Amino acid sequence: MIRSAVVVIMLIGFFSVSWAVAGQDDSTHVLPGRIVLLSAITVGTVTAVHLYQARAWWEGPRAPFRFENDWVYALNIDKLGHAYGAYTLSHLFTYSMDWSGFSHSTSIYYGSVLGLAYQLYVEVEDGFHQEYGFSPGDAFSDVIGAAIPLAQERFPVLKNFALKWSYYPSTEYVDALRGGSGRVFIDDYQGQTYYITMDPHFLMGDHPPWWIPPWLGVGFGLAARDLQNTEARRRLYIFSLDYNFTRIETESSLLRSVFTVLDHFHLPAPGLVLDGSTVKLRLVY
Amino acid sequence: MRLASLLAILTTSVSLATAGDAVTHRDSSACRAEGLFFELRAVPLYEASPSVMERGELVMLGPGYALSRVWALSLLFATGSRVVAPSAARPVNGEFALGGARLELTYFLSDKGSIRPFCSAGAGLFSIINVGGLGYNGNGIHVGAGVGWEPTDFFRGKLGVEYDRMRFFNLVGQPEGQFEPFALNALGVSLSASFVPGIVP
Repeated sequence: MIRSAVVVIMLIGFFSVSWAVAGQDDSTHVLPGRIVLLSAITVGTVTAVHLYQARAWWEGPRAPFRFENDWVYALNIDKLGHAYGAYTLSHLFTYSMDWSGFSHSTSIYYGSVLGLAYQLYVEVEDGFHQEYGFSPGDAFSDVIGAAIPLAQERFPVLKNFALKWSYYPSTEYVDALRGGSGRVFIDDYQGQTYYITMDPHFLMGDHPPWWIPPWLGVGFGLAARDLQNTEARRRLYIFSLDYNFTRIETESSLLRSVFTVLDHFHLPAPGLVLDGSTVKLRLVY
Repeated sequence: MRLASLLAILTTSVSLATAGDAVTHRDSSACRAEGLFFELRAVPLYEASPSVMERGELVMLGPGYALSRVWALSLLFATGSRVVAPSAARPVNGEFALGGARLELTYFLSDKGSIRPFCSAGAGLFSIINVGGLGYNGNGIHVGAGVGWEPTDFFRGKLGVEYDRMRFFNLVGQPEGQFEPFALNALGVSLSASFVPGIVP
């Protein structure tokens, strides 16, 4: 119940802020009412997420704070998750501050700072947990994820690239839930795929071929399978088509906000999946 | 021999810095005086007390903030390894994965030019833990010096030498046995690259 509430709150927050920010200009006209509203939503969301994580992750025994490397964990899919998390949170804070009237440079600067701060707070909490420890590798990923929006602002050509995420619950995770396990989907690394996507149109000059629509992109994804089996666990490499929703022109601010949210996710599309020495064509992945 | 090599590198670095200051004034391309940056650093370490530490290395990444053209503060997360020489006085020996975080203050000796010498000092918390989840918790200090190079307004490279001292005084993972706190001392050659977004809030 709490899990569902947290997910819903986060999606609503992300959606509403994205909707509100659509069409904002770059000047600074700070709106105190919106700052108060967003601060309240942020504090409420962070509190709810903390309570949720306290039950889902940090319920076990605590221990003295320590650093512990986990470079082999989940074949590094978790590291991609940390980078994606920092990247997405930085965008969320940026959109929020844009909507509150801050200049875009201020928003993106503090958006990245706040995104990184939140991710590091989670890592510090892990540091006190007997099962985890503060993972420097996770922190590396957090830093990289938070730096990407700043790099994209500094070098606009990088805006043709994005980090995206797709998820389909793994059989192992579903079985665990049926067995009464309190596992969370964020830890279901076998169900997650992380993508670097690219809008190829920037490579095609002013007149791209008519048969490549503006919203069509490509993506390179990474996933993992059989993580519980040290002999059989392996990475999957995915070369896939992708959708660049923000390239769809619309006058509707509602639709623009929907597209902004959707552009953080990879929706099912045709692709090639490299699994060991096998290449499979999937019409939907 | 290794120490001599390090000193040679340091001397060369300082010479380069001086030469750079003399002939190259590229303030127009220099990184912003103040603001956020991200630094990646690699440090192969050379034993300074071989009876305790045999070898190791550090890779660090983290955000920093340039307080001015000459002062910068960094928070660097560290990963790496340490091979600790066996000792009956310690309950856990062997190869450890190292993790930690260090707060570091850097001072550039000049505010002009694209090549500038620097010195730095920092302190942090560190853990060394083996594959069995056993190890030690402690803290550390560091001092370093070298030369920074800013060929553009968004990139800074640094080459330097640094001395690290880590002192471990708590057991991790409840291994059996008592131990006296021990210290690892190391000299390292550091190579770092920083991205300076140059975005002003």
